[in-house]
Amino acid sequence: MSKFALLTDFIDFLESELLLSKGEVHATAEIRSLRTWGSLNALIVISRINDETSILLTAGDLAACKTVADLHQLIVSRSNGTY
Amino acid sequence: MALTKYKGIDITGIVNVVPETTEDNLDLELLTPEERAALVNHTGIRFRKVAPESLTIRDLFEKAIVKLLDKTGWKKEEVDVLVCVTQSPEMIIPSVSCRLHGDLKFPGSTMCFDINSGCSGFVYGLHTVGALLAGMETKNAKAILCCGDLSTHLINATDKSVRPIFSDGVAAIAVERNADNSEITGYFNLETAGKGQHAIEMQKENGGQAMKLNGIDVFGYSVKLVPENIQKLMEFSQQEMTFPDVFVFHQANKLINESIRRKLGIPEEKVPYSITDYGNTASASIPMTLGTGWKDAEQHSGWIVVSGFGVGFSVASALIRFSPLFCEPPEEY
Repeated sequence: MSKFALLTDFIDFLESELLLSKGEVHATAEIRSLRTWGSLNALIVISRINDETSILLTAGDLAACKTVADLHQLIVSRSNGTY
Repeated sequence: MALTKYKGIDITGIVNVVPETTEDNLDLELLTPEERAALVNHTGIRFRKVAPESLTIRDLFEKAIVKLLDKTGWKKEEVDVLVCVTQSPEMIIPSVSCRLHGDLKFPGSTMCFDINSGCSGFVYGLHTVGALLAGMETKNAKAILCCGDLSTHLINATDKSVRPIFSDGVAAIAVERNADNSEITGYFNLETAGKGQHAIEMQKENGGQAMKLNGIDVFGYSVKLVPENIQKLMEFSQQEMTFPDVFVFHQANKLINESIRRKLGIPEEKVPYSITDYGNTASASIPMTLGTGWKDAEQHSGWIVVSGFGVGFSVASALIRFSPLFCEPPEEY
């Protein structure tokens, strides 16, 4: 979980996985409005989160998150790895 | 927990048949060039086989059965069981297997039925025909198991989440009971997570129906359930994870399959793929992968793991003795 303990680390991760430029992602940005967000990239992000933390997020989990900060908070709250 | 095993049953041979037309995901106008490159890079799916509307699953199964009979040298009179696993019959009634029985003139002694199953269907079908053969009086009882779908006939061709994934193809598998049926030749773990029924389903659309896929939930169920299913299978068989020569997974996509592989600690060289050239061919994908890669596989124990997972949500794995007389790459219809 240490990989995403800080929101700034999670933002860096999203910018890298979504092939976005530094500064394109910020805490209050709406996930679904990110320039390269789509079904495939959503799956890639979920897959990479699972690789790094063993946390498995569902489509329902993702739908419930509006902003980047919401998604980060969800990951932090699931840091015990439950599904 | 459906842990089960059979004795004296072996796969004699496998043939695969695909439609002639190939689509290249790098040319798919539905996606931007960047999306196409990312799709091929992450899912591993470059080419897909697409059947014209005029071609039916019955047509592909027929060609596969005729080739299988030729390769095995079996007479139709010797075939005790004919089972077709498919979710894309061109008509519901009668069953595909009964139509093929009539058209190919199998004898009245051949048992026929269809199984409605998708990505786990090869393993379910293999267990079903194996259990039937094991219970028969006839020594060297024989079964033909057909698996596959025309998934491209079930989707909306403008749907970006399914069009680049699914591909058409079938396999026919010759399964035989040995004269010596004292040895265990297959261990199975067949499981269902019905709470995942909506992850892949037909939904009403524009007056018809189309198959929809929730990629994130399919990923979640797969990487959670499949490793657990295989670990239970190996415990049941009292074998180590290093024992099987290869692990042949349903060809879902590389994101899913590689996550499963890593969770189980299986080395890359033990997990063959056919997904780059043939996409996700539903219940045909495991025999399709064996058909494209088996000749290159190194045999040590002579046992392999096959694992199907998907629509249902259904998960089925088996550790089987595997030393077929032939294992043919796909032939075009």
